[in-house]
Amino acid sequence: MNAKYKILIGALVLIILALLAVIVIQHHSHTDDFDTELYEDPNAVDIREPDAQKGSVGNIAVPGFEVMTIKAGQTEQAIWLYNPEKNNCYFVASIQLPDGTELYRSQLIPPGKAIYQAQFSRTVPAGTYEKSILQYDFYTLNGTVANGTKAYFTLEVEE
Amino acid sequence: MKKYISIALAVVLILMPVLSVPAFAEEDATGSFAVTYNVQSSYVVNLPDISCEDGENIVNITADYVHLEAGKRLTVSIDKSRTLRNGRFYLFKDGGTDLNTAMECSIYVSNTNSSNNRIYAPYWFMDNPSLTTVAVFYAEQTEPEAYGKMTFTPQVTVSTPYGAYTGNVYYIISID
Repeated sequence: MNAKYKILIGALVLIILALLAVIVIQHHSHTDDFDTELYEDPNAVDIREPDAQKGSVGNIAVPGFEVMTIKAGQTEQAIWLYNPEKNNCYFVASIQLPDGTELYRSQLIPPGKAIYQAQFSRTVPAGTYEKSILQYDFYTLNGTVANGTKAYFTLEVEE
Repeated sequence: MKKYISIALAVVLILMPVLSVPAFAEEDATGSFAVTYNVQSSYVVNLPDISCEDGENIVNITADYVHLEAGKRLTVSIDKSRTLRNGRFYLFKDGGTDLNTAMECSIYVSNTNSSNNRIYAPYWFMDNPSLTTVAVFYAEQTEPEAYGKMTFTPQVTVSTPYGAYTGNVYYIISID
């Protein structure tokens, strides 16, 4: 009977070790190809608006805004940045004031995901900031730097 | 002995969910968000996703939609500061950055088809450094009013080393 228990315990220990090994391998397989500072943004969630899924195969669909509105005096902001589902690359999005001051930078936004809640690096006084910049840097799905865009928009900061 | 087996089984049961959920963990987290937002996408522009390949590449720039006030226009241009090296566009060998093995590539900008209103003349990007516009859209247009077609012509010579050449084009999008 003792021998049976020993075999059982030995088998269970092996299973536990195997599971731990799988966890470690899974963790590393998601990060090895990329710059160590880039990872999938934990705030990136499924896009909720159906028309935001549009895009064309063979192109990178780049969404942009004429006006974006945020709140003054707070760093937690409700925004809407998304990577259309049909794209075949990651987006890294950043928002800058006209003088180049960076307010926000995402991590990797996968295709079909959006950022609705963002933690800005600083607060912005109320006002209208024309020629603010929404910059997208594109990365292939295996982490290679691809093209990018810089789009000008008007940032309205409300009290 | 049974106690040890029970503990081992409990550890396995605890680990199983960890293995089964990672791909969906982010989605599960969305359930707790109370989201309000007050921005709408004004446009979606389709830009070439190629990093130039060997041979001539012809690509079109289109839009899924351009929701602008009447009279306003959306202009897509090349960001020269990020795209050019020494004023030229290069394709780099095997993903490198060495100019000594890079291949120069010409960019020709023209209208997408002859029926378009030719309000601008086609141009070779490198020969007209003051011109950077590659597409112009007015409100609700999905095909550009002007330009919209880019032709990439790598300058292959007999001394060009064998390899895979790629280069990245960066764009500026503005509304006026």
